[in-house]
Amino acid sequence: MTSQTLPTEVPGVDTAARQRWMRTLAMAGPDALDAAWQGWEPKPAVQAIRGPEAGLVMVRARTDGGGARFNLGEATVTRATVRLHGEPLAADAVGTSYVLGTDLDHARLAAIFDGLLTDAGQRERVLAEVIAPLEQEQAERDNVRQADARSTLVNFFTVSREHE
Amino acid sequence: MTTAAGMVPAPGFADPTRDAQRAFRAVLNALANPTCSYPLTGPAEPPAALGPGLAAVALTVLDEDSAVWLGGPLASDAEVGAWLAFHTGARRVSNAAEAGFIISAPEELPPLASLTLGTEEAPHLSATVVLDVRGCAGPARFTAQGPGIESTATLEAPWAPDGFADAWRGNTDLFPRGVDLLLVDSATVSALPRTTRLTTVDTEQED
Repeated sequence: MTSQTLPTEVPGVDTAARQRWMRTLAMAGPDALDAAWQGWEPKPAVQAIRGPEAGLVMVRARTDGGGARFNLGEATVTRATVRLHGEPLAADAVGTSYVLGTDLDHARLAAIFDGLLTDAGQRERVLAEVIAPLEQEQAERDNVRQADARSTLVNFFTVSREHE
Repeated sequence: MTTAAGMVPAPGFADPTRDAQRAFRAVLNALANPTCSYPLTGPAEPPAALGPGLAAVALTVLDEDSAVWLGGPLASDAEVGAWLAFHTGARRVSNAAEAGFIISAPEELPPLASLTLGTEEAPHLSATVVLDVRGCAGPARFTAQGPGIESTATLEAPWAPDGFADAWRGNTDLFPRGVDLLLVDSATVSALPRTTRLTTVDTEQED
């Protein structure tokens, strides 16, 4: 979106790992996130720095995956940035989320968990208690969908005309 | 960059759309009625160096397409830089002549003629100067004339540096080119568009 204004890298974590948990949080069901946050103790104090706010993002694509770039269309995206402070964090943490759709609470909760994950002391617990179950649930959901889709697979082929 | 606590930007407007619209209306009114002040409501916790007034104007007028130059203590303030970058996405330039917006205290203001003045075909591309007039105490007073002012108005200008009257005359002579000035303190904004002509009032004779 805009120029890079917040650090994207967390000390001790490679970018791919953060992308993975941000993706998991964004794809998670809002109810699952809400339940995870309700049951989270001790909770740090949360301050909203930006949003949650909904807006439009232009989705761009390339023809055939590698051709000329074109605008596919606009997608509704909700984003949030929060600051977490106080117990149990060692230092202030910033969490950010971008979530497809207009669910403000979902974006806020995803940002909170992203903030918790940037804290070295909390990371293992969040990964084990929140991210791992969500990833598993999403993998199962995807497998079911793919199996459904695969069962309707049809191989088209063209029979050449032999007698003109 | 680090995730040190000091680099966490403070929140912006509580209600981004409406607060920015209100501030925009105040700036618009100020430009339409030069020398009149209009109230501004800023974000609750602006960076200390900006204060609520400048913070409100910055959040309202800057976006990722604008180039901004910060003068004086603002330029070296990491908190202000991070806050503006996070909330507005505006590009920082180190050369004031390339900036679309100048945010500065009067003492650090570069000569007006050295800023982007626009062209005859596109005078709107000139720079807008956002002047931080908090805590200024100078003797200058001007009589202002021009569009938006019925006959004449008196402008108290404690912020005006030495030689401002001449510099401003040079700016108005360039019309339609030239810069516009927004005078912002902690809670109000007033403006001097390029169409407003100033004459110095001799303060000693008046008293």
